[in-house]
Amino acid sequence: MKTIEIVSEIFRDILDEDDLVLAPETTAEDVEAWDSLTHVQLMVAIEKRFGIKFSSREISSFQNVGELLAAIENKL
Amino acid sequence: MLFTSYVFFLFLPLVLAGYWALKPYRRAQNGLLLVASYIFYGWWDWRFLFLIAGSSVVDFLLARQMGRSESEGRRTLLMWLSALVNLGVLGYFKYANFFLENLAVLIEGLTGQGPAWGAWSIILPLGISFYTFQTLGYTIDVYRREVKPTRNFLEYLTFVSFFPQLVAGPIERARNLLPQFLAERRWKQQDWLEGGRLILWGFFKKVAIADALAPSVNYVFANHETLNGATLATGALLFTFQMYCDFSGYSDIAIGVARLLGFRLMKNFDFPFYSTSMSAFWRRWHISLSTWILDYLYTPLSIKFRYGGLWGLALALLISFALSGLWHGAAWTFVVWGALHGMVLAYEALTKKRRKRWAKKTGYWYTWASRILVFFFWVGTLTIFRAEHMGQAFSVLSGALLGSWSSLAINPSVLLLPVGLLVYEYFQRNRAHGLDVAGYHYTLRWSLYAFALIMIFSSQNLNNQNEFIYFQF
Repeated sequence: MKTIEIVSEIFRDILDEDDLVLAPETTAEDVEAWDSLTHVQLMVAIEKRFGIKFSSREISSFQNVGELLAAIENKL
Repeated sequence: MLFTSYVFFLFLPLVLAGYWALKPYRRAQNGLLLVASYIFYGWWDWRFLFLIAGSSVVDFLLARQMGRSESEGRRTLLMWLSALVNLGVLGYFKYANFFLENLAVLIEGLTGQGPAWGAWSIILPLGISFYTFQTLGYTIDVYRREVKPTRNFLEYLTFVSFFPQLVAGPIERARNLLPQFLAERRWKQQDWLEGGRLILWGFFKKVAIADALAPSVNYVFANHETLNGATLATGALLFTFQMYCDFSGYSDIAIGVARLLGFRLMKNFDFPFYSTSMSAFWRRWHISLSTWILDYLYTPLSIKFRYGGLWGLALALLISFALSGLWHGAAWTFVVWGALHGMVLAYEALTKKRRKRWAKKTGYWYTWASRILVFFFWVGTLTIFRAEHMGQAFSVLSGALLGSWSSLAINPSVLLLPVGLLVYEYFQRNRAHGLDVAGYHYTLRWSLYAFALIMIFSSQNLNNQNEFIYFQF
């Protein structure tokens, strides 16, 4: 499975939005349930799923899904 | 200088005239704003001007040093130095006595004999909690490389002391407000129209409602031991309206006055009383403080605790809200108030999915039941906020719930205006503010203006030194 598909699955599960579709340019503004609270939950789920670790600065600096994907692929 | 005093009615037109007469000269305009802001602030107590100037100079210099340094260690050190200075000053003026008092109680509890020290006589400088957070936010943003350190000393001094929002917010962010001082000011009719409406609406809420409710609220809280349940409950309800009208009124005037100078300040209130959850409520009440806490306290904490799962999240919320409670003042009532909100937010975060399913099932009923629940939770916790100590809070709350409801010791007609406002604002809730009436039929518009004006002048609360509640924080 491609990274974006795995990430989308995690998003759909945590945010409880079954029809959510992510694109690299998607931002938190576009997804209603993606707020400061759920953001950290999403990051933890992604770290677990891929077996990677983000730094605190990375977690608070992602501007959109594309940057998140790039950071994940960098660490794999 | 109070917005509702006659001195301000003289001060503002003078500043506006001078300011717009200097129009092509941006630096001269900023210089005038700085002088005006220092006069505005010095009107209360000129000695504290040294404090605000000192605070501004320290953060200006630290941020510049940070900008010059590439070493992460050094940047971190400078950021902590700024935090230490700012929170140290705040701590001394605001919390020194609280700390000493509690220490004395602790020592007495442990040794059976209290220490010999008494309370220090410290006057709380006005607005210190607000401008300290504003200038500290700037150095943290520079540290995070989200804002470039400014080289414009004059503009930075004005940014920290900008008179419309100096004493009670909105607590502005450097990335929003600082660039506005560096840009050319344009005079727009639209700004004056909107600014005027905001000022009128702010005065209406403050003078015609908040100040009119204050005597009843003070009466209930002062005599809580002898009053019955119905009166205590009404008092708590009235304080909720007083607080909302006082604080959102202040914010509206601040945003409106800034607008007359061509500045855009952030929104501080967004019709909080129709929220269907406390998380939504906090996105609509004192927005500039809750987003400040979110960015600089909650987010770093929640990232730090992220492997603790939902409990880590709950802990981050609890700490953030307890501290934001303490920000309001050095008293356990504020800490308890904050902690209760932290707990409810944690509960909401933990039950988010379940609540979403209920909402889908029950629709309309869920929305209204949630609104009512949120409103009364706010009334209850705000009673703790208003009380002088936990004993009083407990007495008012338990009295309201368990005491007799057979009679009412205050005239119920005082409820008319605030309840009317609650209903009126419900229909305005998707607009920018309560008096955002652009596009309405002109008879309706002018009736609303006339009504607000008549209520303001007939209230006789202008120029009578009724300070805004948030000035004490």
